[in-house]
Parts: sequence; C-alpha cells; structure tokens
Amino acid sequence: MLDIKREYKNGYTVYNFINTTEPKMLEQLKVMIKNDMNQTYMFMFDFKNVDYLSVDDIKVLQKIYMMSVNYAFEIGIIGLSNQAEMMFEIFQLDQLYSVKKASNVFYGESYESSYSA
Amino acid sequence: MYFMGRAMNLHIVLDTNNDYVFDKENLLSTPETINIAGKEIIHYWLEWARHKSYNTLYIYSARSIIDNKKNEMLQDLYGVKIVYQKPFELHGVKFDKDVYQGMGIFLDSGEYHYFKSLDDVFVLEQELIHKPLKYCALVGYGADDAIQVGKNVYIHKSVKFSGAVVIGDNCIIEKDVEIENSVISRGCLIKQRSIIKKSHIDQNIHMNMGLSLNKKALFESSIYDMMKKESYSHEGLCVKH
Repeated sequence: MLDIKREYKNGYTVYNFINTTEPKMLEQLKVMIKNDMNQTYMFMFDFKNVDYLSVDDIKVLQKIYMMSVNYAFEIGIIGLSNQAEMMFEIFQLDQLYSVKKASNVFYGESYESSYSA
Repeated sequence: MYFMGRAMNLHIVLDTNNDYVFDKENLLSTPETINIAGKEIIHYWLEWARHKSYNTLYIYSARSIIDNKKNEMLQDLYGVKIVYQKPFELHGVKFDKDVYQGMGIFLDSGEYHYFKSLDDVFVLEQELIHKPLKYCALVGYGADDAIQVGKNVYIHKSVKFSGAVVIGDNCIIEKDVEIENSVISRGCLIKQRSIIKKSHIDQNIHMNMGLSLNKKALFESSIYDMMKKESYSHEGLCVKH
C-alpha cells in the first residue's frame, strides 16, 4: 500500500513518502496533486523515509515533472539518501527539480493528515 | 645469455583482504578479471611476464574459477604458462624473489602497484588512459593518441569524444553520446543521449538510454560512486541482454 503523509507548511504542500514501489503510484500522486492544487501551487516531496529509489520511481518523478510544467506548479525535493541522490544525478532529475540538502527547511506550525491508497 | 633456458616464475598471491575488498563491492567477478583501461588485470600480469621472460605465472587464490579454455587462449597469446593454485599450496614451495602479494599491476618502473580498494583501481586507470604503460600493447588504435578504439566497434557520427578515451572491442556507441576521459570495456552498448565523464563501464554492459555518469563505475549489478567512495546495487540502469 502506498502511504504518503501529507503536511501543509509555510505555503507548501509537503508529501512525505513512506514507500515508493507501488506500481499505481503515478496515478495516485496525480490525483493527490490535483486535489491539493486548490490550496497551493508549491509542493515539497520529502524522501527522508526512502532508502532506495528504483528506476520505476525515477520514471514516475519524470512524469510528475511534466505534469508540473503543464499545470505550472513548483516542486522541491528534500531528504534524499545517497543512493537516491545518485539516481537523481544519473537521470538528470537534479536539473529538473529543485533539490534541497537540508530536510529542516520549514519553520512554524503544521498539521498532518494521512493519505492511503 | 646467462638466463637462457632457466625457468623463471612469477608468483602472484591474492590474499583474503583483497578478496574481501572486491567482494564487498558486489562485482561478481574474481579479482584478476577486473578491468583497468580496457584490459583484465591478468593480461597485465601476462604482458609483464612476457616482457621479463618469465616462463610461468602462478596465481594463488582461494576463489579463482579456472576457465581452462580461456587459460589456453591466454597461454597461446602470451607464451606464458598459467598455473592456478590454492593458498595452502604455498607451503613447501621454494620461491625465487619474484613473489608479489595482493592484487595489483606492474608499472613501467618495475614497482608492483598494489590496490587496497576499488578506488585505487580507478585512480590508476585515469592515469593509464592518459599515459599507457610501455610494456603493454594498446587496447586499440585511433588517429589521436589519447583515443584508443578496439576492433569491431560502431560509433555514430554524432558521438563526441574528449580527453582520453578507451573503447574496447565489439562496442556500439549510439547517437548523441558524449564520452570524456572514460573507459568503455569490451562488448558494451552505449545508448543514445548518454553522457559519460571520468567513468568506467565494465565489460558487456548494455546501458539504458540517456544516463549521465560522472565519476562512476558501472557494473552489471552495482554502481560505484568515485566521489562518495560507495557502491550501490542497481536495477534498470542496464538493459538485460
């Protein structure tokens, strides 16, 4: 089961990825993003709980990037492991997304809701 | 000609520490078959043996897989006999001075350059592609001294080479590929739009399209990051063939 924890912080919608290996991840992400676009056009994908990114995960992120171009929303990336960072570099995703090193880039109050699909 | 007819043997003793270092990287190959600048390490030993008129190369290794067909081919090619032995067979052997511990290759000076880590291999490889060893035959031929291209290689006209590049035999380099200061070992397929800089592609790798490798060594099931000095297993970077 794909589990993404959703948070709203300082104008960003933050998706905290727990597991990224679901084949249906792309469609689920698209639905989530479309719903959340009502609130903000700024998203942050947090991968601090993901140790390993597969090529399939990378393909999903490539397609989400295309969606972000079509709908003109912004996505930042935080919390990449060494392996994930290397996959971003190899597939040149680091040139598409804004990858931030530190995971504590947010300040202030937040609230959480869990999304399961 | 004092040494004429006298049996001279070269002994390479691979230790467990070497095995551990290269096992840990999940290379799926024996240490002596690791490629440097387009050649397996055993080729460097045999070329040194031929250069120094040794009759026999003894390799002491606990885990060597002896491929008789390959050994016969190498013996015919270099005129040096290859004998694999287990480390316990070291006891009772009376060595002359030509015994070298651990995995390494001989430099032109005669120094045995010992590899303590996979990183050592790629540091030396970068030096060798710019300045090949004099006692070794080059992997291939090119109009430019710094670019060596082996036999039966297809390179699309749009491919850009810069710096020192070694391409082994039987490789295909597809269109819009950029290769800079790198080694592509034999039998590789580099698919279109790939960028390879200061990297090493192991033999028989069919790379996926559009990958960008900078200071990486790509093996069948693992990739080594030369900057972070770490290996990662991978799926999907190579196409199964």
